[in-house]
Amino acid sequence: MNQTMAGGLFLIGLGGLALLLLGNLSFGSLAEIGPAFFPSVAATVLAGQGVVMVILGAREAAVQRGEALTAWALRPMIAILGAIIAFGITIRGIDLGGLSLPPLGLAVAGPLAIMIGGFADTGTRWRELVPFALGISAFCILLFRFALGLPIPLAPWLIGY
Amino acid sequence: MDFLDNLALGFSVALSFQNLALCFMGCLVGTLIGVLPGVGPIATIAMLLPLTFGLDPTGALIMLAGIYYGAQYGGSTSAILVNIPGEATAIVTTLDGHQMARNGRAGTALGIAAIGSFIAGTFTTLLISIVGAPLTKLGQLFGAAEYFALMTLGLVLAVALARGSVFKAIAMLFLGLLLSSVGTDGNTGQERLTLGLDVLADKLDFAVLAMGIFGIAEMLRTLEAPEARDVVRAAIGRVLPSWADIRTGMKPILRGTGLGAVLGALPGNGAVLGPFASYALEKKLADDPTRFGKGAIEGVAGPEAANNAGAQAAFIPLLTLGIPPNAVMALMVGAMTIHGIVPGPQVMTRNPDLFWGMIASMWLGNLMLLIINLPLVGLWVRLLKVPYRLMFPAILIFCCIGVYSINNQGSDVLLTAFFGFAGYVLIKLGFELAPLLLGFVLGGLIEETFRRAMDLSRGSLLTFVERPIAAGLLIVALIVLVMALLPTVASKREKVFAE
Repeated sequence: MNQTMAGGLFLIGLGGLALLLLGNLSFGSLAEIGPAFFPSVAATVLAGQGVVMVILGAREAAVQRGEALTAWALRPMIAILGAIIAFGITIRGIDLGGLSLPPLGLAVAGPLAIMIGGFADTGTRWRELVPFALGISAFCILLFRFALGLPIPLAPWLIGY
Repeated sequence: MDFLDNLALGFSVALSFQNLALCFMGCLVGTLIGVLPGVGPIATIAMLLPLTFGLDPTGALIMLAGIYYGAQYGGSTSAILVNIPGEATAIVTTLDGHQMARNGRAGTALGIAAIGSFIAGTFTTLLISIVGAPLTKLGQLFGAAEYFALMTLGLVLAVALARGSVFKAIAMLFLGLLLSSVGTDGNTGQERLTLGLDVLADKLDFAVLAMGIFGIAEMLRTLEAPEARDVVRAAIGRVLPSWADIRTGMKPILRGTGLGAVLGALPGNGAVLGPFASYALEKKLADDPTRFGKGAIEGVAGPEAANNAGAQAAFIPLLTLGIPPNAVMALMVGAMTIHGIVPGPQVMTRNPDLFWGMIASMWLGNLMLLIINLPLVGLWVRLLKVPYRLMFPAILIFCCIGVYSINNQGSDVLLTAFFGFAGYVLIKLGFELAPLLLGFVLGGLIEETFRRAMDLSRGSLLTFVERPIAAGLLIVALIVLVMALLPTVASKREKVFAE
């Protein structure tokens, strides 16, 4: 599996999924264009290009050419995406039926996101990261909430806003 | 001399104390964020967009434009000092700019870049004020079919100018078009591709998408490679270039300005090509081309002028026709929409204060960059010495707060994480992301104009052939597409980007 083939399969997957999801919408005609018309055309082209890329990739593979897939950097990916997700669910809380979290505000979401994100780099030191996380968060609170007046919740559980 | 009156009106708006202060703040903050390695103008603007929400529309756009120039200049600064371009247009600057820095002439490189940018900015401001009015009149003559044809041309140009494989660029373009249709269909009110999720029922927010695939995915790519930052250790040297330097740099600056302004005004992100074209031209014209790549001042002066001229000329299609030619301009559309202004030919007649004020502030912004950046070079050097392991968590939290503040929704932050992941997957599969953003930006407009053109012609595609302007634009688009796909041109194109 080289990069071209994998890319092709990815496009086929995306285009196919989109066409599947558009199935129950009306396509219409040129004179009366329906809601599915434009996305279906885009999805079809996408999937078609995917097919071409799979064929090209297979031909590359047959003669031992083409770029290999490179390894994924899992640690940064998990840390960074985890940090953003943590920020997203703690800042105003979430309510997923059974699972709910009260809004924790920037005072919690900020340091939390910075500390989780800090794991992305192997050179991170706790003694450096913790004060840094608190300092940057305090700076952000001063800048965004007080200097610029953006309506970001700070710590609703403690001070009510 | 109509345009002089207009400029006078513009300066009367831009020179108010509040607008001057906003322009200054924008330039300063934009440079501060833009100078961080791996943070380009798109991520910078998406991050700082909420700063402008509380302002009046004119002030907001003036500040955003300031942020934009600041981020551009910041990108050149990190290109020269650490050999990391903030974005595609600063790549060329790393070649000779960083070499100059290693030879102890970092100050001169930054100085000539600032002077070149200022000259380019002055010229482009004049150009916009002269062509603005006539182009707006042209825009008012355009019907749905012409708009559709023009945007098609823009997309084709974007594909032809993208780096890497044309075929993959087309795929990303269509992915962008597909993503633009996610949400409630404007005509029928039916939900498309929303998976039943409330977050997706509204259209995807452009800033969220851009932050995900340009901010977060880029951060992941940077973290993947072990840090190879090459902060200049040599002395910065004098910042003001000597007369000899200015004499050598002046002609490249003027040529770069012309190239950048023409290319930047094209719909479809022509601005990226400017610096490459200017570098190639200077190398060809030089008495001793071997100096290039070893710290030739012409190799910084020309491309930097082209870079700035292109960045500013990109406002032309946005302000006169309402078509954003690149992702940065799409963010400007977002900012205008928040303030209830629909970009297009009517802005100039309905909001002349805003239109001309913004144009006048472009020149002021360039002047401020020149004034604030030369003394601040030392500060940027110190900032760039902060290790990345401390820098990226700070960038990360700014991104989160920026995205959250656009709609005050935590779900937007979660979507950003998703697009960051998706962008990283696409990078891993060898796709270039710029065409995706442009497809997304123009997707809604293209669908709408196509629909309207078909409504008017009762479903006859011949309308695109019968209307001369539309037909002409589509023929040009076809020629460009065929040329980009021809093997001989393709290999030449690779060479241009390789240089």
